[in-house]
Amino acid sequence: MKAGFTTSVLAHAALLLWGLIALPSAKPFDVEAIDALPVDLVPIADVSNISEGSKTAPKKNTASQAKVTPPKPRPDSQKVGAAPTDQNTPITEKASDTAAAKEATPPPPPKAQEKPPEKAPTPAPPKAETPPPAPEKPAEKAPPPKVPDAPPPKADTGEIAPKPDKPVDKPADDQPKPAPPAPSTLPPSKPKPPKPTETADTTPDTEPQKPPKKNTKPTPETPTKPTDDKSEKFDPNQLAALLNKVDPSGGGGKASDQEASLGSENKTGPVANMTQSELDALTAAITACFNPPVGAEGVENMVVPLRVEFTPDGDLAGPPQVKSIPPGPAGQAVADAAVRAVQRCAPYSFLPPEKYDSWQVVNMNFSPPPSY
Amino acid sequence: MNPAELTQTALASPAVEVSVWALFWQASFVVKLVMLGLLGASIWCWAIIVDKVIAFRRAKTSMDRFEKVFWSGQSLEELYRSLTTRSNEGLAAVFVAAMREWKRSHEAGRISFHGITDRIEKVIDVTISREMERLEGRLVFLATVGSAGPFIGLFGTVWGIMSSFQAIAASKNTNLAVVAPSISEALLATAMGLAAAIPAVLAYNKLSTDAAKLGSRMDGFADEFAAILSRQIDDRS
Repeated sequence: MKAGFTTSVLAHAALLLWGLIALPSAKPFDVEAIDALPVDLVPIADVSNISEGSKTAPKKNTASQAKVTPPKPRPDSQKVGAAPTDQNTPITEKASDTAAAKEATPPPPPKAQEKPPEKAPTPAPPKAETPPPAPEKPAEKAPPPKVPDAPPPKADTGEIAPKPDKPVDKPADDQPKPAPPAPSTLPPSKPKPPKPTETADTTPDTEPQKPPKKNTKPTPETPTKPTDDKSEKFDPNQLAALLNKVDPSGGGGKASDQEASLGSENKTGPVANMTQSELDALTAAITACFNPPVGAEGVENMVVPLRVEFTPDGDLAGPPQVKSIPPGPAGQAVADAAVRAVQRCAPYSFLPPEKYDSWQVVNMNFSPPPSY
Repeated sequence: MNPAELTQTALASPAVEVSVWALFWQASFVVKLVMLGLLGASIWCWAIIVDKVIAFRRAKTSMDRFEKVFWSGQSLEELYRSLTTRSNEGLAAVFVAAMREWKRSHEAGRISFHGITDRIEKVIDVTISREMERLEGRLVFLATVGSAGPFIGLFGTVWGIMSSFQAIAASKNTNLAVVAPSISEALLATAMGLAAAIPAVLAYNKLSTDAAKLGSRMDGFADEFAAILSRQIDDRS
């Protein structure tokens, strides 16, 4: 037994010793040092800003007036857009190639070609083709109005219908004007260019007036009227054919179908944006000064689109304009109350002067607070 | 002591040493006691194991040697005389005990065959049981350690974890770096319990089987020898 005991004690002692030496301590885990992640609290206003467009973009009804970067005109576009600069396009192409013109792929050239034949060589080569060109003039004249009008806000096109009458008269007067830009082939192109220019100019003024009609409807009407006035050769039977030949317009220079996005109206370089919080502050200030007209009902459901111009010190540059009077019997009263509210609260000194660029003109939809 | 210092010291101290030795010294009194007890049990177990292995081997060789001599045709009288001079174990002890009983029945001068077979068998049984007791002695301790060791270790662990949780509650810091050492030290108790119990169980199974083998071998020899003596008795009667 002694032997066994001593052996056991010795073995255990040896084992413990070995444990002390060979297993001095557990290996610490390899923990990679991880850099602390800095977390900042960022106001949502910095994120929610969209760079270019109208300040009041969220409101779809009013926002469209802003200047927007024009989409690049597609190759198909007629370049009959609003701006006179768009009319630099040579309309001079060959007059005789009517036949070829139709086949030609690029729309702009064909038009130019087709036009000339109408006035000068109408009777000329292909009879079948000539008639269509003649109607095309009107058709082309018609398109110009469409293009300029259509691009800005969709809604505006409706106005065109009434206007065409004016343009009709003017084109004759204006014909000389367009001539200079297109020196080469003046005669054929006379009527066409002028119309676009005038229509384009006139439309912007009247745009706000009428709410949306669809582009397609006005266009058919417009062509007919001008054509009656000007071109003797207008054939009502060919009307459909004429219309069909009108290429879909891609829009002129500054024209755009797109709704303007939130941004500054006068954009110069990187746009300083009015943050949502600043807009909110402005709205809150105006709301505080708003006295609901006595007896008016449904005030809280109304929206008064306002256009307010400011001076750099936050005061009003002029009386606020009501873009459209809200519907309903109390609409006018509420609109007036909103204007009064804006005027009463001026000056708005909290608007940051360094961003005056962004709030010089503010389009806002003022929604009156619920009456208490 | 402000909270910053508190956490710092709490964090700093456990990081110092986590060796097995350090864990033992950091353990609470009860856990230390359990671990020491388990260490002692382990030592004793191994002492028994070593002792038994040696004893069984020796017993086996001696049995082999004795059987060789016994069946070599040597006179039983001579063999008995040579064996009586020293202490015997195993088969030799059985043989000596039986021969002694046989001699006593003769030496008295009166040869009483009546009951001699019974007496011899009784003596042989007693001798075998004594031998078996000697062989199997202390194996029970192995069985005990094998079954109770894990429980003892578990007790130490539970106690250690309990006290460590008490410490956590007192320090109000649940940082894992604070909790880990005490739990680790508590688990050391279970580890030691298992370390003591596992060899004990294995050795117990092995040694008890060996002992049973030796016992059956002695039983077989005893029966054979009893048969020889019985034949002698019948011859003489």
